[in-house]
Amino acid sequence: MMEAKSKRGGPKEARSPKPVRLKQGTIASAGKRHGGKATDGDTLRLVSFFLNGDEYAFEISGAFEVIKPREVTEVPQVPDFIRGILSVRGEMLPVMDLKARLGIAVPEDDYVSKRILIAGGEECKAGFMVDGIGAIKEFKAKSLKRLKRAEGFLIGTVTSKGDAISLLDIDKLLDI
Amino acid sequence: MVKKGIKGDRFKEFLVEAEDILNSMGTGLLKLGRGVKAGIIDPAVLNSIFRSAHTMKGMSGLFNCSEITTLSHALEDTLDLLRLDRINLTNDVLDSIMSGHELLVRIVSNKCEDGFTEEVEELKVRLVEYSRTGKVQGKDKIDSELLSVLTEYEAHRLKVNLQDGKYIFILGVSFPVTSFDKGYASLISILQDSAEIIATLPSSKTGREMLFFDILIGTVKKKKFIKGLLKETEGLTFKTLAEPSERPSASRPAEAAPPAFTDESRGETLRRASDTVRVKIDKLDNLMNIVSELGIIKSSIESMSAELKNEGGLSFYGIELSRIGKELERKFTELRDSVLGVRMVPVGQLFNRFDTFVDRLSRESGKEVRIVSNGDDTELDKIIAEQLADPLMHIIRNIVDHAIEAPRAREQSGKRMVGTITLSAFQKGNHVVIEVRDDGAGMDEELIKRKAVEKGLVEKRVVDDLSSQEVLELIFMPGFTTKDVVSATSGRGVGMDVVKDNITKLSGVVDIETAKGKGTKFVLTIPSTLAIIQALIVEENSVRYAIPLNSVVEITELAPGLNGAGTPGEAASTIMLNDRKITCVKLANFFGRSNGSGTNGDATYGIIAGLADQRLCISVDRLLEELDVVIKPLPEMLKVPGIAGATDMGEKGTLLVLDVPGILEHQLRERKQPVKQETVV
Repeated sequence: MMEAKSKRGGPKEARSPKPVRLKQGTIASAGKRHGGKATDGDTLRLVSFFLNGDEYAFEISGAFEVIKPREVTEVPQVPDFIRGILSVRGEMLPVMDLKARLGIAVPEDDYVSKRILIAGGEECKAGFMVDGIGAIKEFKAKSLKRLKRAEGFLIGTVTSKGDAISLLDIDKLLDI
Repeated sequence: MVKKGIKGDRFKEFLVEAEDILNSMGTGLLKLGRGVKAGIIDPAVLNSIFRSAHTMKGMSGLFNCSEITTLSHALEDTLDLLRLDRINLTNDVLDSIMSGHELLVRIVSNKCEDGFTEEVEELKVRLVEYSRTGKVQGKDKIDSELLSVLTEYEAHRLKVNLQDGKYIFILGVSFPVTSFDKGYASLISILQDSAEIIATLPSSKTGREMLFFDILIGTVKKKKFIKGLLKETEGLTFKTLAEPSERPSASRPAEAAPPAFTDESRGETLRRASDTVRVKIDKLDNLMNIVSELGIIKSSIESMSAELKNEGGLSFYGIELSRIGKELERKFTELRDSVLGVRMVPVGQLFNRFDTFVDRLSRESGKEVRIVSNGDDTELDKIIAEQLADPLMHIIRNIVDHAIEAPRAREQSGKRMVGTITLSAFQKGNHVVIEVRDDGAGMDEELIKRKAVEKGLVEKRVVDDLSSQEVLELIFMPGFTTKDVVSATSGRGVGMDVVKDNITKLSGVVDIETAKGKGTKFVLTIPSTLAIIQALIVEENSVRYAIPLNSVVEITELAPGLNGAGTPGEAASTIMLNDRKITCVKLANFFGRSNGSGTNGDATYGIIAGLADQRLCISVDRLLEELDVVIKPLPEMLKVPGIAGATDMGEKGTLLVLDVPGILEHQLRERKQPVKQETVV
């Protein structure tokens, strides 16, 4: 059973995922927390989060962390969905309003998300504004239903306990 | 294929070490060359070059860089003959050795990839020729197999030791691969007071993860004594090669200063005694990060201390905290300066690289050019020094190509036949100024104007309007060249624009001074360190920015009327200051932000920024404070013109740092459009 993991003391809003029976081989590679390969051939490791009540996820390809929202410094002449930059341990990271980026923004003044999920690879890390964090989940690669044609930022969906989790493509999201 | 040796990292270290050795070899060769011209050959210089070749041979052998080994070996042989005075140092010989050195440099910078075999063989043949002219020395009673393994110098020392009636022992030792340098060094230090290390030879023994050596020593001490010294050494084998017998102590030719060479030969084979440590740049970056975070924490303590003071008046703890805070401030500044200091390197390291470069250019172009430098001790950040290598190379190449006249022409105009390029460096505030001066033909403004128009880079009517300085700056435009024919080294119009780009990236400035017929001077002004800068925190339109102070020339108050002059959508107006027309920029407009409560009628401030003789005014609403900040770059996807980076000021938030040269350049380009309004300050 995987619990939600927040690096900086976020609430443990765990939605217990259905226990997944892992093969012996995958347990070894699932060992590394917050790091290691996302897809180990057989296994898909995801971190899920919520936007407008729906569950989405990223593949965990590198380390990731979750922080409470902080003041973001605006940067001029960047797309609207980039709120600005945030300094995290000496690194300047862009902060993206995911709802705006995905086009599912609910009109409200001064939307400030409950959490910022920092994810991405070595080259392109960013902080994503999310309503809440789900959990780290593992699935068999086979259970991913890929889209027949690449559509926007969606790679595909995985089903857990009857609910669909939309897997988003970080690289596409960060390709401005 | 080259095997990368023991570990990838070790190979990288080898490359760095090799570069170092080749560097000092190069310096030695130049000294030698000058000595030859003057008719004097310094044996110490010759010997040090020899040792460099020897070390290169040994090291490259460990990493299977066979081409380097072959070439170094050939060089070493020739140098050995030279230092034992067996052959003459003719220009031809010197030339071959220098070519050998250059080839080594090239192979190393190509990371020992193959492809140089032909050139190496060619050079080896040349070098071997020289050895044929030497005499062969008679062999001694020593095992000829051993002798063949020793270099002639070592054999020489062996003979001397024998003649002196010393014991000759061979110590077989082994060390683990990962720590052999330490093991070897400590072994040597144990031995050094009692014996002369004649030679250290790789042994034919092999083992797992172990390196085996045979150390040949000559000593007056007996076997028992030496064995006693080394009783801690594991796996030591001992062989006696020779013992003093009743040999006639006569017939010992006077030896010229052997001990001097002995000291040096100890360290030469495997390790150079050095009092420096190599550190990876990213370790230093990490240190810098930690230091700057510490700085933020320190600031928090300071503000809390200030609060306490304000609230509680003269509480005991408040005062204590304040006192401790001051101590913390002092120590922190020391720490920060030390860490910054670690990254600094003397600019001489950079300058030295151009010696061989100019030599080669000089030969290739048929002109006589020499290069001198001063201010070599001036320090700057290692990264900046590296970034300067290319621009300086381009400038120097341009000088040799365009500026320095042919020897005959120089003679006729009363100049020395040898053209001189002078590199100077000195500190100026928190900048380093690097000057490249030549005594060549100077730059011809008319020619530049003509060529610029010809190449379609500017229009004729624009060109006529330009000031002298601006004409000279035309050479930085991509595609500009005064050559009609492309040569091997120049004429393609690429080079000076790269220089400009690189210098601008370093937040630096290039200025040119020239006098026709006399010479030209390039002046590069760069901040000595990028990491921490002094900044002025300002507020404009309710947004705070950090402006690097090194670009600020003065701060002036602007009359209220000016604000109204800047209508939304129009980035700039002009003001008059000290009889100069200066463009004034409102940041909100420049960045396309909505102009909120800016126009409230109050006086505002103009930050006058300057680069060379360009001036720009940035109007702001408030001046907040001046402090040291650490600039971090913005993420790649968010690079915006006019912004150099951001700085985390802890409690005070994260601010954007302005790129003043960038804003200035942008404005200058906009200047083509007629300016709307003028207001007198």
